Amino acid sequence: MKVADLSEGDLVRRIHGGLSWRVGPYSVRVTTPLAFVARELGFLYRDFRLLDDEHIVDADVSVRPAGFTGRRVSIFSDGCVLFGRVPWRQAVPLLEWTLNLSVFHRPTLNLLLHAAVVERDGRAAILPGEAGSGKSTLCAALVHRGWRLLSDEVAVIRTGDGRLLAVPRPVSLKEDSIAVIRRFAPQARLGPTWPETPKGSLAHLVPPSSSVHRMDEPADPAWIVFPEFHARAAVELEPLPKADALLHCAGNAFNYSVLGSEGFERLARLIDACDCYELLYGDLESVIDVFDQLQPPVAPLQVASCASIR
Amino acid sequence: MSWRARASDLTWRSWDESEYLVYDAASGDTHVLDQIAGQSLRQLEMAALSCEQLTSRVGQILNLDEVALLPQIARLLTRLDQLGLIEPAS
Repeated sequence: MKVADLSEGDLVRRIHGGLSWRVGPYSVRVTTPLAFVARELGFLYRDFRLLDDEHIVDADVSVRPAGFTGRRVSIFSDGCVLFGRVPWRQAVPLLEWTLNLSVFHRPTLNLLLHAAVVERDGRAAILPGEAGSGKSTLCAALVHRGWRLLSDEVAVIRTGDGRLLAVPRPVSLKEDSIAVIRRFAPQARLGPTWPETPKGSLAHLVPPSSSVHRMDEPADPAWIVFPEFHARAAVELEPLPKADALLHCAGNAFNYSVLGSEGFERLARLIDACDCYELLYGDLESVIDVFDQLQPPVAPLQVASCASIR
Repeated sequence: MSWRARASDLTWRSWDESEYLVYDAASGDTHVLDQIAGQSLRQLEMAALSCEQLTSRVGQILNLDEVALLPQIARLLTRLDQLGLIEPAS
């Protein structure tokens, strides 16, 4: 059964006691008595399959009214308050951030990068970047032009084979990018715009159904592209030396230092497998053309040196 | 004074030999070394060397003028020591 198969009444009733679903390798349970939160989650996660109530989840998140006026909420993760007594209009954005945090900070042997990931023909483009770099806007545009959404926020590089796992959660769009995507992809399903969040106005793009249906299909990394958005800038795609790419990725990793030398090795193997670029863009149609013309990387040569010295 | 690489678990990577990435498991640091620094650290892993000896070896490997190279190597040794990658050899 998918979330969309629940009537609104059933959704609101069941989420009172907790509703669980899986997003790629992660499972979550959300509990809330707030009908508006339930309805919004029902919209954003409509294509995801529900898990049994007894399923042990990775993150147990609840949204509860705070105070007596009904105008504030608190958000808890695994019983601990993450956001206390915030305005109700921030409930859904902060719930999404809580779900992100629950993934990013969970102990794992997989290497995690702060990056969007899209895939086509089995090959994935990793788009690392901080807030404001334009990676989410670019990701949203690409998934409406033939690319599959693997993730908007985290690249999960699987231990062992280095393949990318899909975590196709809703894409967070902020400020001007909301209108940009509405114009670029009128068919895109966006939730309401939530004003005055800590990151400004924010809306969530529902992950395409096809991306959700294929979320158990990993992808091979092929390109690492560091995006930077500047309004009206002409598209520039410049090769990036691999050493620089590794350092930039390490700076965008959630658990690089925790994994120690194994993290370095895995990141190096990822760099081995990819062509690396810096991307400047200001127009979505032009940048889509650039992505469509990306060629599969040439099989990596033997690395010049790789030694573990004690 | 002679120097040697500090006994530690170093993992090296280089894609074009103009730069080396070195992960030091002891500190968790990832270092970027240019050609001179990379070759210097490699030499100090193999043997304890004075500044002059190291200059001679690196100069031969990279075909560089040793007179001009010597002060660079001297500064480099100070930096590698600060980074915890080398130590005075007893």
